Amino acid sequence: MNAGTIATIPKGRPTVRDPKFFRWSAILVTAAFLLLFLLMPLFTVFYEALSQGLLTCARAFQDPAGLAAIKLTLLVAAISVPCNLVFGVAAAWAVAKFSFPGKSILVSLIDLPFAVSPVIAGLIYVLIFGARGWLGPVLETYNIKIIFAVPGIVLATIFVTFPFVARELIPLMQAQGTEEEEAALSLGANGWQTFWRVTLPNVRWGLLYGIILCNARAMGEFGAVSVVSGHIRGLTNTIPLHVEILYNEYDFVAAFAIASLLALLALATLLIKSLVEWRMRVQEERSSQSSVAFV
Amino acid sequence: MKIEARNLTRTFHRYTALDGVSLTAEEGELLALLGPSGSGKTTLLRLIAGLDYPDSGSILFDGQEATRLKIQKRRVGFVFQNYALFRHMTVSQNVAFGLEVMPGRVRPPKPSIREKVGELLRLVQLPGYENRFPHQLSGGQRQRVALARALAINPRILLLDEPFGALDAKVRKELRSWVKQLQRELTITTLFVTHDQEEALEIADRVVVMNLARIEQIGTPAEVYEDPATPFVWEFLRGSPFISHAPP
Repeated sequence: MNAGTIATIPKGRPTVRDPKFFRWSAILVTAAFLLLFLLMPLFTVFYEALSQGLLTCARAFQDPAGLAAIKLTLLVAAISVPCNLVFGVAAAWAVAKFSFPGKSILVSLIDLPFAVSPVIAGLIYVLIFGARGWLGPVLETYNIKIIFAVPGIVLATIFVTFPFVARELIPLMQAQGTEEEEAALSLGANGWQTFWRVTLPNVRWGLLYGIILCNARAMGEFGAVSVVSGHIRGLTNTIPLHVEILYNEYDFVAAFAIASLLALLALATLLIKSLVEWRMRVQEERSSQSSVAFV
Repeated sequence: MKIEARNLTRTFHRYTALDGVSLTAEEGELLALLGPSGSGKTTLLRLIAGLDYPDSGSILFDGQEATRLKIQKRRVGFVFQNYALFRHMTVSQNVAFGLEVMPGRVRPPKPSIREKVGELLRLVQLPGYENRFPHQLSGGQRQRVALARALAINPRILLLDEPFGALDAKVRKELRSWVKQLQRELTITTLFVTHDQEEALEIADRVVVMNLARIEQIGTPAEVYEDPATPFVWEFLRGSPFISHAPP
């Protein structure tokens, strides 16, 4: 019912009007801040990448080490995003639709990667899987390499990006309640059918939103990956790590050229994100109407 | 189908929602569970539906033990207070849901599902609304879609949770006499939860008056009105200024 009352407040008309001076100065400060700290760096990335002409820029992408970094980043995202999609949906479903002992602990655990510094996250994996770590000797006897190899990078990325999907879905699923699921069950659907036909379609936009953010972070993660990667050129360097190496070698054009890929990813993410946000708002308005139930 | 509830008790943590409740609904009967909020009427309905299980006591369907029967096996038509229509599905997809999720060997073929949906929409007087979404319907229309959806699985009993609660006064009056008529036609055992005395007295065959997790009285509308068993029943039925006329 509350959603209904809120929805009836006319939009685009703030209830309190501040003096013009405050309004404009607030807008101006925000705009100046955005220009200085967000737009200018973004512009610089593209500007520097193209400063020696398109050809020099294109050469950065012909470098085998650069290509390997791009491939590795895509591979890591291709593994970690689906993993977190499954984990996130499972976690959100468990938290939002069932009550069980220890639920609040589980919710805090989901947030852990947000609270922990990515460098610490990487170190944890070194301490567990590294040569001197807990499982180091065991892994060595079976000749399994995790740290300073691709599996470690994937693990660190999964850890860092775990909360995105779950965090997005939990409030959404909680708001939608369990009535539609109960209705599905009463109509003879089993748990699996209820999940695929009712629960999941209801959160599809939120899910997409979570996936996009998760993917952006997975491709852009630096700290955790840096600790476990070992920076082996052409083997364990992702795009962010490769950018750093190029920059440290004073190869600015190549560094910014590769970095512009991440910048483009960010722009694409923003675009899809606002599209999805718009879709979600439409859906929310509809569902708030349906819970008011007037004639 | 005949429903018997024997000595049902349900507690949530320390709160007792139902305290040794017994009742019988005869075949084809329209029974109202009437009481103030917190009296346990919705809990009782959910136990009968299989959406929840009692701590003790038993439920019998046609004399057969059904207390621990899973909801999917009970074949109950449940209409939720806010209808709980699937918001991402059209009206016809909503109504067809119960048929679509049947296991392959008993599921009717697509054309007969479509036919059945059309038939049900005519029954609830919503032909031509197949491709609308729930948010495009009025409250009364949504309620009728919820009813059609519940009836699609040929339920053995119909359970309605505050079926008219979310509607405005005029639509409520129309709908309840219509539901009563429909229930008569289908001769399906029906239980509905309400806190509105007038509603219960007007359409129910028998009224179950509940208060504080217990049943105060069960009887025909005339019995509970003329001959209230407890002071609570007297006050709950007559103390209200909303009753302007004696029931039949």
